[in-house]
Amino acid sequence: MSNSCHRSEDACAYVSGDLADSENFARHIANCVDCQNAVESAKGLVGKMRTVPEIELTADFATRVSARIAEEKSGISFFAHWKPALAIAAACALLAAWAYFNYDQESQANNSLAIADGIVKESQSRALDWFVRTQGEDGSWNAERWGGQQNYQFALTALPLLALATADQSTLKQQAAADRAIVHILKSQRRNGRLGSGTPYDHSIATLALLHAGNRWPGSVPKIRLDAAVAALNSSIREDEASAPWRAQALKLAASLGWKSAPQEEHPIRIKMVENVRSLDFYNFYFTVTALRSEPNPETQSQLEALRARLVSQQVESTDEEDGSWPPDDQWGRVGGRLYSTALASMSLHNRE
Amino acid sequence: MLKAAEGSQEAFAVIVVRHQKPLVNFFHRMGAISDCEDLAQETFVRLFRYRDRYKPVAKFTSFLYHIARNVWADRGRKALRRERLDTELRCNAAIAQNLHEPEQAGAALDVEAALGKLSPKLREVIVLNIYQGLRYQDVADVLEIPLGTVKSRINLAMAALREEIDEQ
Repeated sequence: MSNSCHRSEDACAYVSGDLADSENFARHIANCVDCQNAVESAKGLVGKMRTVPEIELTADFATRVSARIAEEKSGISFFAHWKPALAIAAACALLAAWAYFNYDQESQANNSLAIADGIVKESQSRALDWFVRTQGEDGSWNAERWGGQQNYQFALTALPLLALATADQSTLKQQAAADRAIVHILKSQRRNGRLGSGTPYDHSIATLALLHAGNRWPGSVPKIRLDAAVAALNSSIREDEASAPWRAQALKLAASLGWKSAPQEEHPIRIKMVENVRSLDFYNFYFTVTALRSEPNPETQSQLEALRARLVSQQVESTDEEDGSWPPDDQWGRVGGRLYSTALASMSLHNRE
Repeated sequence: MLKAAEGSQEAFAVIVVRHQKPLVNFFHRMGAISDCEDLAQETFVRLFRYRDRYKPVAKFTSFLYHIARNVWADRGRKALRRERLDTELRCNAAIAQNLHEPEQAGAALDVEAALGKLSPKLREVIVLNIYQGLRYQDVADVLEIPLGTVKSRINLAMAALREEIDEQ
């Protein structure tokens, strides 16, 4: 909109109450159509801008600030933590080395091997860093580049996001990679709420990933987008076998996060328990771990540790670009490639559901 | 703030409670996604660190947002800075909680997208003035620029926003 009256430049300041001679301007606009239009336009625009509501804080924000301030007040700085941190790191390294040595000696024969928590965490971290390094500028991951099929390109971007969003810990770089993936995935959302190509497989995995990301990093995923995705999940036609467990997990998570549109009843994840962990199957590993985590007891814990030990032993350790990933050497590897194997393997190491 | 400057932890706690939400939303409007609270926390820590530099001649909110703006600038400079995100798709996580009218939610999305297309200089004056409620003079104090520059930047920003929103 162009206004020929030079005083129309004061319209914004007038609307916001920042014009020094507002009374004079008020008299002017009574006789100036250009300025009347400018004022109305500014009012309308400010009104629209204020339709964007504020985000809410997490419940413990003030407590966390208070703790940081108390630390600041007591003069404890990063450097004051330095020596104890070094000692802890050294102890962890020794423990990890000991556990790894033992694991290496016995793993071939013993499936119920316990594995040091530090090793599992390091393994997770290396996997997530691999995702950070291999992400494209547009936030996606290239399925074909990593041995997957092009028609699974979208799901093979949703899976790494799911791995990033469910990790026990994440660095700022990993969070930034997740942010980029979220933006990429949301760009694909259609008016009916469906994500990716709209297939149940794409949509279920992507919805699950977005739900986890939105829950973990408040404000990272617009809730209206999640609403639409969850609603589309509910309205989906009969899902196929491949998408069913993802859809069940997404619905369960949505219900637990308060989505009224998600069915409240239980969604049992039907899995066939892996009887022999030596038979490598990343899908089976992941869904087995998911089931075992939901029933914590000494027996399931032992099985979990055996699965994790098996996975950690398969992770690539090298100086090349595959470092931190898992070779896609199972029956689904030719379809999902290294993105699939690494996402499923790293999620199997997580403690979060 | 003067009590907080003298070392009163209770007074500082009141400041945190009063300004935490506007501050988190400031960073959200500036373009932060998942680290809004981290940035707000860093602002409060710096506020505590520099509390003795506050002079009652300046408005407290100007002082606070001056620090917040520096925190935001530092975030951009750090080596681990996030790559520029396509902010078109960003919008407030609370939209669906607060808005039940699809049209209103759509308008909010349009505004978010338009805001994301502004240059950083134009965006900050709009965020400080429209969303944080700072007067033109306070915006000038926070950004350390002349009052006339604030006015012209706001006019430019409003024209760009109007054009962008009208197109959508």
